Formats: sequence, C-alpha cells, structure tokens
Amino acid sequence: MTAAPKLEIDLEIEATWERVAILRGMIISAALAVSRDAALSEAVGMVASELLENAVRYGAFEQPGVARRVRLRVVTSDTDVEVTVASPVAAVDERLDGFRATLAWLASFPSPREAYAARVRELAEGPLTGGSRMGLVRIAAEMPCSLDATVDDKRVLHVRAVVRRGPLP
Amino acid sequence: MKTHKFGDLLIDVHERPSGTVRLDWRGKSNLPQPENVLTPFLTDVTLAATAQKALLEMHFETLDFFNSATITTIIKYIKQLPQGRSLAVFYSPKQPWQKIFFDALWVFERSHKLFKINAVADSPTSVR
Repeated sequence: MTAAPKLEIDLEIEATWERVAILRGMIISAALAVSRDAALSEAVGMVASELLENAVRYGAFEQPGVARRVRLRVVTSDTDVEVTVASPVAAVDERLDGFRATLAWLASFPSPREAYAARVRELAEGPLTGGSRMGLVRIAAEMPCSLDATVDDKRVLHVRAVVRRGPLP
Repeated sequence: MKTHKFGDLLIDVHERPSGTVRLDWRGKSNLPQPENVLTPFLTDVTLAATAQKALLEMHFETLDFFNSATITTIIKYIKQLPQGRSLAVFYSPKQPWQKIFFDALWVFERSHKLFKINAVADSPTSVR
C-alpha cells in the first residue's frame, strides 16, 4: 500500500491577531491540497485558529527574555492530523489547570456535541463572566479529537489536538 | 442596502418595504473582541427595527467562519433581546459548524417565544 501524502508545517510567528487569520487560510489550503477533504481541511483550520487565538490572548509574553511569539505545528500521518500550538506560560499560571478542568468537564458528557449544547445553555441562562471556554468546546464538538496539554521545562505550554482522519480515499 | 464592515466580517442591512429588516452576515468574524463592535451595532439595528415595528431577520448561510468569541457575542445578544422583540435566524445545515451552533440555540426558542431558528437547506456553500 502506498503511504498517504504528508503535510508537515512548523512555524514560529509573531503572536498577533492578524497572523492568526492569515495562518487559518494557509492551513486550510495546505490541508486541502494534501487530503482533498474540504470538511476535514476546514476543521483543521478551525482547530489551529482557536488554539492560536487562545495562545495569543493568554500567552505570558510580558516576562523578561520571552519573545512575543507562538509556534504552530501541523503534521499528518496516514491516519491522524496533529495540531500543536506552543506559547509561554508564567511561573504561576492557571492556564494548564484551566485547560485540564475544561477537558474533565468535556469528558463528563456522553459526547462533545452534548457538552457544546450544555455550554451554550450555561451561557444563555447563567451570568456571563470569565472565559467562555467555547474555543476548546467547539474544537471537541466540531472535530472530534483527543486534546492534551503539557508544560515543558522552559515554561512553554504545548496544546495538542489529534484528529483521526482515517485513510485517504 | 448598507454594508457594515467589522474586520473580515461584512453585514449587509436590507430594510424592506414589507416591514422586515434583514441582516446578511458574510465573510469571516475573527476579531479578538467582536463584542466591542458587534454588540453596539446589533443593539442599534434592533432598536431601529423595533421603532419601525419591523420584523428582524439574521442570515448566516453565507458566513464563512466565526471564532468562539463571536459565538459568545451572538449568545449574549440573543440573551439580551427584549421579550417582545421577534428575531428569526437562518443558517446553512450543510456547514457542520453552523448546524452544531444553531442546533444548540434551541434553548432560546424555549425561553423566548418570538425567537425562531430556520435551516435553509438549499443555501449556497461557502468555502473559507
């Protein structure tokens, strides 16, 4: 059997909102060129965009010696698409705990779609305070995938989404 | 018809003689804080439609993309609609991300009798 075409993107970019919008379009085009799957490519673009937006919005760029940059990696294998976004975290940072709390909350539902509906219901019926968590919730619902996060010894948070795409047609 | 631009998002406002104010969302809603510009705009349009006793329609069928901050902004807007204010929204069920979002908005149909969600099956497909 011939191996599926591969996509491998590894970019370090300035952490600005404008770059996120540009990258989303680029990721969709590249994924479409490799996979020929428009729905999958749109979803991969959404996943990259939401993870990058979180990184740009919440990254700890104000620390001494920390560049205002984020790193995006998109890598495909025969069966998966892996999207990873890396950004700096502060010495005391609640992002990892918040991320894990959101994953635990998602796992408490029978399906990500039900979690999405529940989050919309919470926003509709409850007070609108704090972060919406909607970025991770929509990733899980719109493109079922595994999500995880780690912090390395350089205090960089790596958030990863692995989408099972199945074999190419 | 007047077109309002918010970054990569365009909203066309049509005021029809039939007494309907129709908003067509186009492009990509990807601003970092869409609430800062969309909430005042939508509030003004809603007040004007109410003063004219006009029906209010919002069409999302040809919208290419919205970020999660836009999702929250739309939910807040609908949540704050006055009870006597009608609103009909239209979406494309062919776009999975639109279907998931508007399916989840049923909660507003339950609490707000004048809020209606409409799937437009033959809506044009947009890419990016």
